[in-house]
Amino acid sequence: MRRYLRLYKLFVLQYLKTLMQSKLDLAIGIAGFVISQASGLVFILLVFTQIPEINGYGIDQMVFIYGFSLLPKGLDHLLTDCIWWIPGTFVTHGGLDKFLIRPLNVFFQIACEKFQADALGELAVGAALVSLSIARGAAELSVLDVMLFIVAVLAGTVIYTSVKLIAATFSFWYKNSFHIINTIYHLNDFAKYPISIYPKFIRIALTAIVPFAAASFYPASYFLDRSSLAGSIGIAAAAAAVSGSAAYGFFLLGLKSYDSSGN
Amino acid sequence: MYTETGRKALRINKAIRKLKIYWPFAKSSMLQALAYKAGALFMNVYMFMSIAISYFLWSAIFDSSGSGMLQGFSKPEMLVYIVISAVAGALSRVYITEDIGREIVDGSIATALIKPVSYVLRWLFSAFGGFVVSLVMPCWLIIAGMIFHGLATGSFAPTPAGVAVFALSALLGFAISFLFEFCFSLLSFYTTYIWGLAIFKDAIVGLLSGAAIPLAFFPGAIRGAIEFMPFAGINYIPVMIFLGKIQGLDMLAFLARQAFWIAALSLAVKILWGRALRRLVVLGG
Repeated sequence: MRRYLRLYKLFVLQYLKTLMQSKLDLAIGIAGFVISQASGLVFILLVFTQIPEINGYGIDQMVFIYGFSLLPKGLDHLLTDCIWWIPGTFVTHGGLDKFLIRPLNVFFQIACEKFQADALGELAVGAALVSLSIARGAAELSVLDVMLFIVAVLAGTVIYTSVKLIAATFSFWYKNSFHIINTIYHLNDFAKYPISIYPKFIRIALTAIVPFAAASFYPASYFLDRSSLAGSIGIAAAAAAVSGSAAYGFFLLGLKSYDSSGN
Repeated sequence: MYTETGRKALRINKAIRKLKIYWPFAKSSMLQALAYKAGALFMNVYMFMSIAISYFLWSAIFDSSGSGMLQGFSKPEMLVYIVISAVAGALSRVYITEDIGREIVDGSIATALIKPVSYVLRWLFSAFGGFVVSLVMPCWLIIAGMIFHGLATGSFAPTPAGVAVFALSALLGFAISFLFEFCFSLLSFYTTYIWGLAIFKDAIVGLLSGAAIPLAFFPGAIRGAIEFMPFAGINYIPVMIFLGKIQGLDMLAFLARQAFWIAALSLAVKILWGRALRRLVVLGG
């Protein structure tokens, strides 16, 4: 474990050096994600010039939900962006070979392949929106709540990573599975808004099958509505544990049927 | 000395010859889009997902508002707006930025340039192939469904003429989108990180074209400015024509505005392309 932490630090430092080489690219990437998320905010603001609330949620609560959903998403994006490369670079083109001959965990090496600093844009917008909505009275956080908040964000991150990993693992059998990950990943767009606006089957799907609601809306509702701990952050933690172990097991299974493309 | 009719025939001949040269680019991009059937299928699933999110979100917004109208839209009209806006979005989506960017960054543009084929026209036809695929695949199914739904519930009844003008306006929207994307992709001459810029661009275009929210929701002064920009022609104008919210002389004026932007952006492509080419340096061969 310690060895991995030390190695990860080295990888990140190395990656930061390459980032510093092209500061313009870094600025473009971060600005791109800031603008992209801010445009979602513009939508909410414009709608709320017309109406006072949606399904009982006022503007500050909506901004809190939206901002909170960006935190696990951004963190996952920052740390494991390379899962997107599994179908193309790693499986179809045989890039996985170099990971298999090193005495290190393969998933760890995939995560290390890239430190996606663009995601700092997402994280910044998410943190700003959450702080702003709290300052405007959307929720009150005690010290315990802050700790629960951190737990919830981490659990959400695990859920995001797991969903991506499961979708990407299909590429070990179906080579061209980029669109599968893309489509499944974008199910998270559903979770930017209160889940109560959707019909029952979508709510169940987002909770039990592709648990993006467990990554963002349920934990957010704990801080907004003071819903029961078990029914909010409990769901997030359980979903993280189940999806995390399922994803990793599935990934190992896929790895067994990997045959290099040769060179 | 050619006679008037002779000259005309010559011009038509020339056009047909050009079409023969460039049509294969359109055909190959169509075949490419259809080759990965699972990919094409998932693209449609993605589109339906986005429609579903907007559908439920707007339903909740209208149900919570208490009033039947928001900025001149009734709830059924807004639902039609969402769906048709997704159709217009699919029709006008032009996937050339990354391809052109790659050619510029890795230098393969050099081989493309020595061929006796116009670089701009080549990509125009390639993009047009995508337009045709979107036209044939999901879009008309959805439009037919919407017309049927509108007739059945009596909430909204598009006329055949309205649908025809929508198709024309959507084609103009595609042209605007292509020209803008082409200009945008030339930024690859100046930076290698076109992907990050594309995220930036997609967000801005989504907002300003009316794809994210009808432009009518923007406050007065800003709205006028946004409606005048070329992006409104990509999505907002065709959709408002379909809905019958732009009619008669207004409609002609909006179509003229689309045509104006096509002319202006064509000029921009001409100027920027010449400038960018002078910057091009390809190492090795």
